[in-house]
Amino acid sequence: MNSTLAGWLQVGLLVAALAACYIPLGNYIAKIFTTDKHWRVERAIFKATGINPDVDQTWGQYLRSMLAFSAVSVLLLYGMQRLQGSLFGFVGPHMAAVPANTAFNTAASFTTNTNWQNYSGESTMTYIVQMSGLAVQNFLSAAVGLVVAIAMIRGFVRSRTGTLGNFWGDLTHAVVRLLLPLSVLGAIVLMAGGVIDNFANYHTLTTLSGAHQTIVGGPVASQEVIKEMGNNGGGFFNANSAHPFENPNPFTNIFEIFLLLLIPFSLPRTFGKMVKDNRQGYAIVAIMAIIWFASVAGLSFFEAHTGTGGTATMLAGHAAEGTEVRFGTPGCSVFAASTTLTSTGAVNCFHDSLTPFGGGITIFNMALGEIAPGGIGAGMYGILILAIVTVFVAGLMVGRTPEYIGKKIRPTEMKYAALYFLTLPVVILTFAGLAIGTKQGQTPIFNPGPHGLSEVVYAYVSMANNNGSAFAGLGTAATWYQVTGGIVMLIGRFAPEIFALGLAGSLARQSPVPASAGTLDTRTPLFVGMVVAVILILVGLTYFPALALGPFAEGLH
Amino acid sequence: MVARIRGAGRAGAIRGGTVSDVVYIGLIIVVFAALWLLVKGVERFER
Repeated sequence: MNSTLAGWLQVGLLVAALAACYIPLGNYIAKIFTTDKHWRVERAIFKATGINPDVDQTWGQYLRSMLAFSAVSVLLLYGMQRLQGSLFGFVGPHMAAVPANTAFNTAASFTTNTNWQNYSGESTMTYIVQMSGLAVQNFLSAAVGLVVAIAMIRGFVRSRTGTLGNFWGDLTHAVVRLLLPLSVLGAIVLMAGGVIDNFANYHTLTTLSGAHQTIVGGPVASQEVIKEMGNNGGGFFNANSAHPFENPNPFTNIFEIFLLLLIPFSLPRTFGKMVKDNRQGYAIVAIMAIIWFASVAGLSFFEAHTGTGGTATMLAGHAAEGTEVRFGTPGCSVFAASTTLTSTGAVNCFHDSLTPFGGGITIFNMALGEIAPGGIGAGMYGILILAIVTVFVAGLMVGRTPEYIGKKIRPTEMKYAALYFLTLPVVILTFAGLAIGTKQGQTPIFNPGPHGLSEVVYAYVSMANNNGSAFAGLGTAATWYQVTGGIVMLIGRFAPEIFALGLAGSLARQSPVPASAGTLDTRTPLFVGMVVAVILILVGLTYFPALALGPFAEGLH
Repeated sequence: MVARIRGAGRAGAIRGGTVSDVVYIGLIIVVFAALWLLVKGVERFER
């Protein structure tokens, strides 16, 4: 079977598996966040922590709870890394304390669901820090994104109230009822597929040629599953999902892609279920699917066709450099498109080695705000805000009343939506400009010309959008990138959430508006097309100069 | 003599590490304080 056909069969299998899970998983998530009953283990957690999960919070209280929880998480994770040499090294190989700048960057990275890594996990972190620090944040940061999306949906569902639910109750439900059970099942499948999971010390062997090779171990499968399903992306090993112990064969590869798309593609059903109009969910999932499919097709085209890839690519017949031979170019392309359209950031090939236009697509995917289907929860609230912008633009164009899901889109809502959309480009382009314009930022750029610019833009787009993947040709271990990267990740995660929850609170205070002849039907293919167009135009115009000077200039050279 | 120099180096490294810790913990607190103030600002804007 040729690799192109295999690639499209892989896409077909993925679509079928995701379609099969859409209704049951989406309905289940809706049930988790609409029930007022608590499981016994949840009641025990609430009792132990003194939380009353039935007290509704205003958007400001919800947000402050989330910020306080995240601030404590960053500080704890920082402390764990700094003290791992003396306190957290009693299982597996011993490691020294993580350097302070790396610990800061990593703490910000894992708490914001970014999982940007400028260290090698196998030679930097002890098993205990990986398990009880990083993996715990893989669960919690994913749950935080999910509950913000649920609070946003409640803004549409609720009327004449300022409350959006209880952050602590939602967080507990998300972890106990969704992420933990699915992770157990997923880890078993991964282990059956050959992913390792042990507490073995590293073994140093002598090869036939007399060289020494270290065979690593570790509790990998149990972290691999939440790394993908929680859209985290932080690899147990430096090579991430290109490492044979994390992703040994084509079956585990497609299963990992399935995991990283599973919850984001099911959330539109949750949205439809909660607003009691499943067709609204179908419209949202159609927007996501169109962009995802276009990205997969575009990336696959540029990686399989050699015209823009340089001499080595032309000689190989496809963009073979940096591609893991176990998966081939199609396996790399589908993974790369999916990981950059979600906030995952796991990689199974080197994105720095993608063709210029292929690399440009990955940057554009992240610049979209990762909404197709987006990070766990983050994609959902991101696309809902862009749907609101579309309703407003459509209202201006055809003179219809701007309404969405029975709520008026007034100047207040539009200010929140505009602030939400503008935050990330301002942060990304400011910090990328500073990096290009300062010696500290320039020194770690290993590639001159347009590719160097692409690497810097990629880094800040990835960090601000909480993706975490990287073009490997940038020296991100430099203090400049560690410090500014940590700040960008924190602002990129939480500032947009402030505006998203503010918008949700504003919607929840409104009275519902009954649909009339002047209401734009947001369940039609026309609306789906309009949202896709608005997204592409907004993001295209915002990032066009950076993309033109980076990947486009390199590709057309 | 050698022991004293080694000891001084370790003490310097510990002091340097502590200063770094204070700087980064301070930076984390400053970023979250700024986000906290942003929430307050947005709430005031709403009123």
